[in-house]
Amino acid sequence: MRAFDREAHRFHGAGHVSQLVLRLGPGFDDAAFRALLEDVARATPILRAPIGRPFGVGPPAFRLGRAAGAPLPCVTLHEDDGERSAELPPVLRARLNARLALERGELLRCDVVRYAGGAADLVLTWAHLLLDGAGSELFVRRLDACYRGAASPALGGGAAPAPARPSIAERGRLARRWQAHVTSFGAAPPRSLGGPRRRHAQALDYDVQTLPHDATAGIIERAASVAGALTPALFYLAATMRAHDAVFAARGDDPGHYLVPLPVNLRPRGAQGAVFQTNVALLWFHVARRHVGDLMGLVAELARQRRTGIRDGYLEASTAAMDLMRWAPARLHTWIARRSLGGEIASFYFAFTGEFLPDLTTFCGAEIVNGFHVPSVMPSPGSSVIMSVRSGRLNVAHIYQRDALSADERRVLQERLLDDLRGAGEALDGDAVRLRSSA
Amino acid sequence: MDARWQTVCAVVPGLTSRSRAAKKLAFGGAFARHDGLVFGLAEEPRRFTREGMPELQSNVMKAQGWTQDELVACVVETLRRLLQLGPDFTEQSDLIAAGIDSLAVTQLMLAIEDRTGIWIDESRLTPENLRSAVTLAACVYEQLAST
Repeated sequence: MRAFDREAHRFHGAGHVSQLVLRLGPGFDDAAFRALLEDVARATPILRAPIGRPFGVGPPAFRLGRAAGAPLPCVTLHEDDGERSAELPPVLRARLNARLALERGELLRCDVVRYAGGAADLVLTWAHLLLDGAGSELFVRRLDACYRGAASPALGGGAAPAPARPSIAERGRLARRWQAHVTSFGAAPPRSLGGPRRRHAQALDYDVQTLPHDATAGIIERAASVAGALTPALFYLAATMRAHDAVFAARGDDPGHYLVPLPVNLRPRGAQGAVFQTNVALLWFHVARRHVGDLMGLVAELARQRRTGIRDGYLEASTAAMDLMRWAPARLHTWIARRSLGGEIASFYFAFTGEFLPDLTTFCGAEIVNGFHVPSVMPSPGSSVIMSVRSGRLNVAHIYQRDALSADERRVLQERLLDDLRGAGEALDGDAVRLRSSA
Repeated sequence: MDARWQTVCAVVPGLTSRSRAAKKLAFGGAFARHDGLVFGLAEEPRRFTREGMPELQSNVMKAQGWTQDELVACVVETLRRLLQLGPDFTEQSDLIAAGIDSLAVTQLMLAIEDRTGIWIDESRLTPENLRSAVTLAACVYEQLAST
């Protein structure tokens, strides 16, 4: 995570951040929210703990002892004279393309966009080292509980208890296994729509499509029947892979193979409420293009690779490898990865986070109309899709670098994706909503 | 006929007059036999002891060497280990409420594959099958029986 943040900063002037967007109805009390966040940040040091290597050596850590001297998370209010529209406020894009100063304890910032009529958008932009997607939802829940007086501002126990770690020798063995696994991908290296890394300023935009209830119900049923009730992510990943393939096909290009990491929530049993730090590992899928032509066949291939990866212990191996790599200089991580994989790290990024804040209908006094995640993606691979379901409606967010895909290519990708999700030929009825972070 | 009654069969080692009386008792007098199997109407399969007394055990039939009860025990034992659950997790406990997720269900299926040699495809794991260890074991049993 830190290596990605460093690389994004060094090559693109950005950072490894992510956003959680809440679209709220009238009644959001921004002054109370600001006061609440300040209380929570004062009582919860990790929210503003500088990240660095103590005394310049050892693995990077949250320097909790220095948190008191760091500024409180910033809350900025933006007034918009117009009604809320399909055009997302420019501040969302600006925050996603900026870097948080982790070494100074700037790990979280919030923006409130207030529209005429009282509706508001609340945007939490956070360093991926502080939270992961599931953690950011838990954080919002805990904030709301504090607002209602049902919880203390001290989000103690917010970090997962350290799991029993294997011995250093065992971790070394696992790390070597992981290295061999990743190196094997290099025999058929991935290609991305963004192409290899090059030094230029990051320019992220994103589109969010919110599907109607009926269409979502059909998609959820289809995903469960094809991939299993507990593993629908494989269906969504397969559809996303085919959507990217459609763009390659439109370019007359053959990527050969796709390589995609899928985040797996590893919160330890009994610590599902762990809010802070990253509690995920990545399961990698390496798929030859010949598998992409048939959606069902592709889901079966992804399921086979997932099963093999879990059985062969690659989740544990990747965790051990990342743990050991923390001791190395940050830029070494991505250098090794790119070198092993022939220049590009992944074909695209993908995540399916399931129900978005289920059962939470209001936040700080306002109804939650919709909500979704928007993670950043670097110019290589340049394209990322994340999906979640809010109140029975599927949100599909496509995040992309402006120069990685043309407008026509984005249209091809998004249309193909929706076709595969719904089953080709089924029309989308009228109340679908499409949001854009740029005109 | 009451919908819960079904034609079931029971394996018997031999038909003595005593066991015949017992089977009359078990099947309400209506039964037939064919190739060492006894067919009758009952709510559930029955096993008969060598002495001919009906043994009320629900899973007499074996698939790939496994009875349904053995599969239930296997599921419960594996989930207790994977999800670090205590004795309050029983064969009737709700699996979703107990914390089963996409990773745990695959680890469970891998454990079952290790024990039975059969992989249960995730697409068979419907919400109904994931209601409890009993329903999940029934799903596994069905696949074992059809393999």
